[in-house]
Amino acid sequence: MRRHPFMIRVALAMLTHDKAKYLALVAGIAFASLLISQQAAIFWSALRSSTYGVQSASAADIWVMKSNVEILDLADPMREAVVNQVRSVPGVQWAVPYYQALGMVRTRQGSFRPVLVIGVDDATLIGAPAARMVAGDVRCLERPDAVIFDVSGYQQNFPDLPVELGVEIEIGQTRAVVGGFCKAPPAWGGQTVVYTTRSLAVRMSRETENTVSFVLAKSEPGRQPRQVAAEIERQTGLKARASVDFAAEIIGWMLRFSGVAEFFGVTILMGVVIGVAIVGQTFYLFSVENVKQFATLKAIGVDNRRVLGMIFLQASTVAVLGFALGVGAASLFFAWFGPGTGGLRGMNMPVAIFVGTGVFIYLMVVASCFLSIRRVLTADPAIVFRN
Amino acid sequence: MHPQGQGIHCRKLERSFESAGVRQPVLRGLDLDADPGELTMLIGPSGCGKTTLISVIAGLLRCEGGSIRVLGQDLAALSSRQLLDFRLRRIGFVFQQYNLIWGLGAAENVAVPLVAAGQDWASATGQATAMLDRLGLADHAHKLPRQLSSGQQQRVAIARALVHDPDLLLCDEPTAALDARAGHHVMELLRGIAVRPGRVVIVVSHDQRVFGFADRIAEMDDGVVVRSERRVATETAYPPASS
Repeated sequence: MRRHPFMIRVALAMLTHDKAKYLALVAGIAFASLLISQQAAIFWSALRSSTYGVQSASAADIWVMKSNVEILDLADPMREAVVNQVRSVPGVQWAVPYYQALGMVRTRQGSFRPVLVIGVDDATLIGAPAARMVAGDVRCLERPDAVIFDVSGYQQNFPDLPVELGVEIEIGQTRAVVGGFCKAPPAWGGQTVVYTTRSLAVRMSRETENTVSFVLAKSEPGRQPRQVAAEIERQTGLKARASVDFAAEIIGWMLRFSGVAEFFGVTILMGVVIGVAIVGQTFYLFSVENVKQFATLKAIGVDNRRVLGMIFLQASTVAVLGFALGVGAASLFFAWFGPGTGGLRGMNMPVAIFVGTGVFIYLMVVASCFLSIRRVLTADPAIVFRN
Repeated sequence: MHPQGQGIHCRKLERSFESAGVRQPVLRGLDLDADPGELTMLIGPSGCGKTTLISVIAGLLRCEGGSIRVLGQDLAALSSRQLLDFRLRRIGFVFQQYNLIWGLGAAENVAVPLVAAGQDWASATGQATAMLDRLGLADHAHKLPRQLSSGQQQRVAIARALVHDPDLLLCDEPTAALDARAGHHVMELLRGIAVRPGRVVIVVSHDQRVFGFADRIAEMDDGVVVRSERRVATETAYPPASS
């Protein structure tokens, strides 16, 4: 339609003629987008990091543990015999031990930093972060004293140590050599994650009897992991979960017991409320101030359909601009502070949060738009003749 | 009985509004005639129903009783869509506060009725610029409303009202926001450019200084026309000034 571009011009002219109000509108939406996307991303990253071990051990599709264990970080170690018990269950293709324990790294100044030492199976290295290496190779763990550090945690906790392979450190009075660096979120307690073999991890923790935190197993081809997990439970009396179910249980636990849901939920809710308040009110007031202009157009003969189109165009313009600025600011925040700063390390903004925030912001603006439209459409047409 | 030609013919027109749950009659069986080729001035005290009357004449409000024929058309017989099209093609408006679109330049403001009627942007703005030229505003075609004086804004509004050559021009207090000199000048323009054979021009005004431009004065009070008389306009039109 050849006449539409001019009505687009009219709509945008109405929107932008008052620069201060226009910028306030865009800034309000940008602030709401920033708040919502940033807090949602931190929330999502925190939840996701609680299942990081499950994601790293992607070769296994079943996790076996004591019946009282609910999350990765609160493991209750078992005797080594359980590994063979699991291997003997029909439907299990293979099973390997997995160990984790808190350890203390002595710094050059003599003080200590807590770390979470994860010991993967010496023979297969299943559970090692092969896909997340930033320096070195997981096969470095085949050397008897090698460890792999999360690079962000390493930089934060040991600023005086060079970020290079071959650095010697002491964990639990046991000598170790940095053989690689990976990207891994901190443990739930904030400790830096260190990967090594189970045998070295056991020496570092000085544990002698209960040296298996979890058993990682793989179901035979053609068997459902859930069915095999149920069989393991029936035959061993241990708790067994398909990896996806275990990850979901961990997230469920975090939401119920960790306080993360309340903490971030309140913040995200604040973002939504502030967003609705700022965006809704500002856009509504903007439209109300323009009622007389729209009424003039209607008096001249512009139909309601085109008036609606103009309002939607105005709403979409500020929504897209505000969203782009807000999410862009949130992305910069994670780009600048996410990789190596305290509790934010390892956090990022996934595409789902980006899209979700965009959809929410747009719906919020459209909802405000509907209120405005109602005001415009129900306005007394004779308003054009009044002062 | 007045001939039912192409002018404005209202008979026993009624319209009321609800206020605090009570319907308040505003037009109480009003009769009015305004002929083509004349400038009819509608006068009367505030609250007497002038604005409601021109809203009904414009088809912005429906009458609740009586009949109204505008340019030979029974407005009650038109659907909302037809009324919209009728306004778009046959009526021009000049508002007291000009009601220009703030973010558009003068020529773009003037072009709005043409574009709304389906004309393309280039020819519409060309036509709008020519109309501004007739009103002495050729040098201001690209200026925003805030960059124009009140008198210039009203002239832009007059250009917008006339650009599509309507058969009915409705002007609501066109001089109320202007000083005496600018108001006089605006009325000269209306007299000189708007009044032509076949076009009905209705001007609502309180301003006694411009009554001399009228061919007919209809005086309203309490929702009815109490006096309507044709007269000889004593003020004449002048060529448009340049500012």
